Amino acid sequence: MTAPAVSATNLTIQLGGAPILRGVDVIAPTGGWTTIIGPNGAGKTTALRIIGGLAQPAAGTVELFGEDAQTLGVRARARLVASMPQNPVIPPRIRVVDYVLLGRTAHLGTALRPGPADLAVVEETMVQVDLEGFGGRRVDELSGGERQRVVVARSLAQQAPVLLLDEPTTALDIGHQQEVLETVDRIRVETGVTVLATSHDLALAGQYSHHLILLVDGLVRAKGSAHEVLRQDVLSEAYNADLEVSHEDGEIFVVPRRRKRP
Amino acid sequence: MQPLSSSLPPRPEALSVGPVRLKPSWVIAALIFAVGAAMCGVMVGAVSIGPGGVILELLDHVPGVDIDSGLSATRQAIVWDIRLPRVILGLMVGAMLATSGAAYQGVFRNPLADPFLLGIAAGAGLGATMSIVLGVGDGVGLADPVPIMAFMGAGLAVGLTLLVSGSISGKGTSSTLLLAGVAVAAFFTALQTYVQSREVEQLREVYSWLLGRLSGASWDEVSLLLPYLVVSVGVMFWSRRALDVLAVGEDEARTLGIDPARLRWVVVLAASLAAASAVAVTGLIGFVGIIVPHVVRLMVGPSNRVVMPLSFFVGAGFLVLADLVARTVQSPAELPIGVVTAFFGAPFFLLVLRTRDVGTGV
Repeated sequence: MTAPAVSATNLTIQLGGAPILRGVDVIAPTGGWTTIIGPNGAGKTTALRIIGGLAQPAAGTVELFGEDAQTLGVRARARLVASMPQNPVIPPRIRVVDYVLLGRTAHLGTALRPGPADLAVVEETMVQVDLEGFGGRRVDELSGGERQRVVVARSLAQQAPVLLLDEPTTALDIGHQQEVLETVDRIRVETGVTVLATSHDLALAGQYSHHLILLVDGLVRAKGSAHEVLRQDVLSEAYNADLEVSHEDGEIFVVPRRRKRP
Repeated sequence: MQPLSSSLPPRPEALSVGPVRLKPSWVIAALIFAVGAAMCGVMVGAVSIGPGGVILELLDHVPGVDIDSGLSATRQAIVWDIRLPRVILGLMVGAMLATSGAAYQGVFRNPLADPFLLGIAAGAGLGATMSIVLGVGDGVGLADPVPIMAFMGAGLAVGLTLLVSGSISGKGTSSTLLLAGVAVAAFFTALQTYVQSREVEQLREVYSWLLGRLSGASWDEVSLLLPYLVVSVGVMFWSRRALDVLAVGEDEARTLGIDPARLRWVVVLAASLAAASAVAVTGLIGFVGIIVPHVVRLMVGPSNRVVMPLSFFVGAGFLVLADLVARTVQSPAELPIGVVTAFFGAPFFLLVLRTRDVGTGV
């Protein structure tokens, strides 16, 4: 049994005096899709930031493929973990090809001059996300769905064996949500990349993930397969919401219900 | 753990669209501008000298070449001892200010950042004012205490800014660094104003320094400044692709493999060294560090790997042309060059801004 791609244990962090994570374990098995769900402020994004090397936990360890991630330099870590940000900063007037090429940064020499192999990777990832021929377009002039695929392409060009997705579908309509998640899942199957995501959308999280981790108030409330975690009693309490969970053809549907007025 | 390889076969055709790169035509155009400005700078003045004479006179100074330029001894001296060092110094200072302006704008991701941002102008101003008012020595050339004191003042101000912002311990963000710079600059300016107001009889001399000038430039200043130019511009050029990565913000840059704190530290030091050494020699020449990178950016796009080298050449040429105007419009009197850079630079900048695709920031 080899070590999982991501194994974070006992993550503990306070931000501004308030405890955000209180001893959280996040395991993402290699090649699978793991999603952290939970209400706003539960600590999903913070957990992802710690694993991505953007925040230092007060306690806890992060291991990537069994190796301590704390000892990795910025560059070495970027070769192992690619992060797709929730709200990516798009530099003004940048073209698609230049933006996707940013993903190659950790693979370039000290002068950061890309070679033909890097340009080939860029071309290849643009094909993977169906952006062939978009190289010369300006990223800030693309539609929301196209732009999100450009960001996916940048993360893929990084060729890291772990892909972190922080709320990959916020601000997308239902069709574009599916499009982006299908693209990532297809690439996961093709390449064996390990996906670790956060999500607000319980139905989509259930459809794409092998493993779910439910965070509430900085603690793991439930974890396991979609069938184990997406249960009416668990979710109603965690989100303080009236909702219904139904099953059909092996798929799980989470539907909000209007509270009955007394 | 193995590197990810795609199952798709490698595609035979080349990238349909290549990444941004420095086009040779842009470099040639910028180079022609700088060389043309330099030629004008050597030819034009109280005594006009034709281009043929200038070129032959320059060739005569190449080791192993002996050509008679046909110029009289006086004219030879004007070209070689007066105008040429002044033009070369102008090229160097313009290049350094424009490059460090581009570097500051890139590292702070702020279009209003300029080379004097972190207290360099205020620190250099205080150093120069102290030197003039206290009358420390009255050496000329390399023994002139004003540039030394100005350089020390600028270094002190930048050092203080880095220290109070926590950048030395690696804790500060770029916003704390910017704000610390503003506070340090205000403090040094207050000191400078106080010293100056106590010694009004030297007001004129202090003002003349503050507004910048290239008059009296000699080969000594050129050789003094050259090592600073090579080191600072070398480091900034080396960092230009990393600054393009930093354009996505410090967090994202880190996940892409760039350490943003280290990059900021290196670039700020190099850009400050360039600006401090340039203003120490010539006084506070404003506006070059803002206007030149922005004009270049509006012409060729915002990528630092392109903007920085082009700013180097355009800044060089721009400052020589500004100096040409400064010493000819009121001849034999000279205008402060800082007045000229702003007077001609600002309208030109607005013109470019109006006629180009705008709304793009850095």
